[in-house]
Amino acid sequence: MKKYCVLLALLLSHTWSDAQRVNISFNATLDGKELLHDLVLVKNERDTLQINQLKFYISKIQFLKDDELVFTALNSYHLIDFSLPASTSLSIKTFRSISYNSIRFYLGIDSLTNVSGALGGELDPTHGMYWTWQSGYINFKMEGQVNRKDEPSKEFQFHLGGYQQPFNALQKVELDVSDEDIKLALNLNPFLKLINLSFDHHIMSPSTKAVELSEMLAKNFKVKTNE
Amino acid sequence: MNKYLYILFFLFITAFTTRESNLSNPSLWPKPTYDFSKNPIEKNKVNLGRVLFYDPILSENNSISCESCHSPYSAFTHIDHALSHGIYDSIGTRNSPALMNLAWKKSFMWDGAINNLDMQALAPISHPLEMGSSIKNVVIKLQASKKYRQLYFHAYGDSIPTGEKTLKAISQFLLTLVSANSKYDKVMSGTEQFSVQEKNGYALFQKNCSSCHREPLFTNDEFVNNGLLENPILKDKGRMHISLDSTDAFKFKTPTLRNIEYTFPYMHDGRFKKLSEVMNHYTTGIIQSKTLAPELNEKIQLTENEKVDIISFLLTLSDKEFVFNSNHTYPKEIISSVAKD
Ligand code: HEC
Ligand code: HEC
Repeated sequence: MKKYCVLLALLLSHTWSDAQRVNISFNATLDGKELLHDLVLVKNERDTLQINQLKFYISKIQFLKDDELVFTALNSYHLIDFSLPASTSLSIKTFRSISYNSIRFYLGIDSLTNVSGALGGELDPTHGMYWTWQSGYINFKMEGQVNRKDEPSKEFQFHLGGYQQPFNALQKVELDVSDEDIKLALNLNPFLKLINLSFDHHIMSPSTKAVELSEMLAKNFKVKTNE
Repeated sequence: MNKYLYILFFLFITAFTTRESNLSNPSLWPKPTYDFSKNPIEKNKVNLGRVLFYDPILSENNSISCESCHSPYSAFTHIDHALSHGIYDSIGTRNSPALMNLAWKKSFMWDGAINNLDMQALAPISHPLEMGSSIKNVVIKLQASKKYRQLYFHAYGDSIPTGEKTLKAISQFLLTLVSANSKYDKVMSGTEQFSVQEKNGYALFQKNCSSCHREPLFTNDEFVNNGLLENPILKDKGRMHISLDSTDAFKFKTPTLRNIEYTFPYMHDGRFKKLSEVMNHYTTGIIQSKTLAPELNEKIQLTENEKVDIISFLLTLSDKEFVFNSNHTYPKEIISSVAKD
């Protein structure tokens, strides 16, 4: 028995020697500025925008070559939380060497996972990304406030999610990439343009609006090229 | 694989109920909806879940446990309270349902807001009017407890509580709350007989009530409008809160009628104290509306005697063994066998 185990281990280590690691890192930008380490943005002398929380799920990462699927990462559910810098970069092990020119992933959690009961790791509900009064994962969470001189500040809480039709908020993202070190940035400007920040916003449950905002976010992941 | 786990579950439940029950003959019951392959029933996990169920550590100020609103002696409902009472004496907006036979439900809560039994506990733990805490805080408190580190170790072979392990253990205990040993069950398996009055009530029940309160679980697990007048203060639209679809207005999950003798007051807002009031609702109180269940469009005609017969049938759904089952009550023996905090 032991002998076979050793053999198996040898065999595996042999095939794994071709393993490759692809790094994917996430950032967010607002007015061209990176948000990673400083979530307070002074827009002009009257307005400041402060983001207190920015978290989202990325799932089912796949690699493609000329539109053909070459590799799907196993169990890939990742919570990107901007208050925990380590969580914003992922290292994906591919087990064999692959060549690809685009990647695909989902912003959010698929419906099967949403109905699968209590899950652990990145999907553990202690991460604050699971609704409590109504079952389902929060795919994207952004909270903060807009402070305007001489006016009461306005708050915003966007908890976007929903897995049941017609409010399924899961979004597919596809991007052409050329590097093994993939740097992605989520441009928040178009999203913030869709909403009027001179009002309070509390989107906390699945709805048409949540789907619309999720679509807008998914369109605004961009690949940063290394000059 | 699944079938095997499901049989294990039955063996486990029957080991807990003393006399022979219908569950030893699962062919009389439909297949459970709970996926046992993701959380196979084990004694030490059930024990952990039972301790958690009775522990106010799940609430912000350690004052409210699950049992506060779900007492074993009333088939796990909040006896005598129309609307549940929670933390800081706040009053909730709905009547706490009785807890039994949960492995057979597709969704939970009066409006089906919860899609899986595992996720149910998150709602009261986080609700500001109920336990006012969060699963994150609960897990932090559990991790600091010697007692729980020991109980988690017994259950999972790993002494560190997580959200997943906590929720699954609570599910394990809830899944063991099976009521299948009422007089009705004994009549069905041929070991007892209905009285003449109960038999007559059963026939009337099958004619008028069982389209929704379907045997043997006494619910079809669907959302229907049974013609209640909208509560003017609560303005509860039921299923529509979840689907956002106006054709679901005033629809609520059909509740089971098992142990109905113990689970008063009745309906989602606890508006009726007695079964006779419920009977009067179905004969003379139905409010017409767009979403009213079609079978209630036509008036249910019952004489006073017939109403009493139906009630006498409903009382055959009482399962004393369930209500007084010492495996379901406060787990003194488990708590005294582990470390104190
Ligand atoms: C403050 C009172 C209160 C507390 C504490 C409480 N519940 Fe409940 N429970 C309720 C009410 C009220 C409902 C129905 C709510 C609704 O439908 O909106 C309910 C529903 C449920 C259901 C769904 C039953 C069904 O048939 O749909 C389950 C299961 C449940 N509770 C388990 C628990 C557990 C486990 C705990 C402890 C973690 C707990 N409850 C704590 C009041 C409470
Ligand atoms: C069209 C479906 C339907 C029919 C037919 C029906 N019921 Fe109901 N019943 C319901 C629903 C739904 C509720 C819960 C309503 C609510 O609280 O909003 C309910 C609630 C009850 C309750 C209260 C249960 C509790 O735990 O609060 C009793 C008792 C009851 N029904 C008995 C009967 C009897 C007896 C009949 C036949 C005369 C009957 N029902 C016919 C759907 C139905």
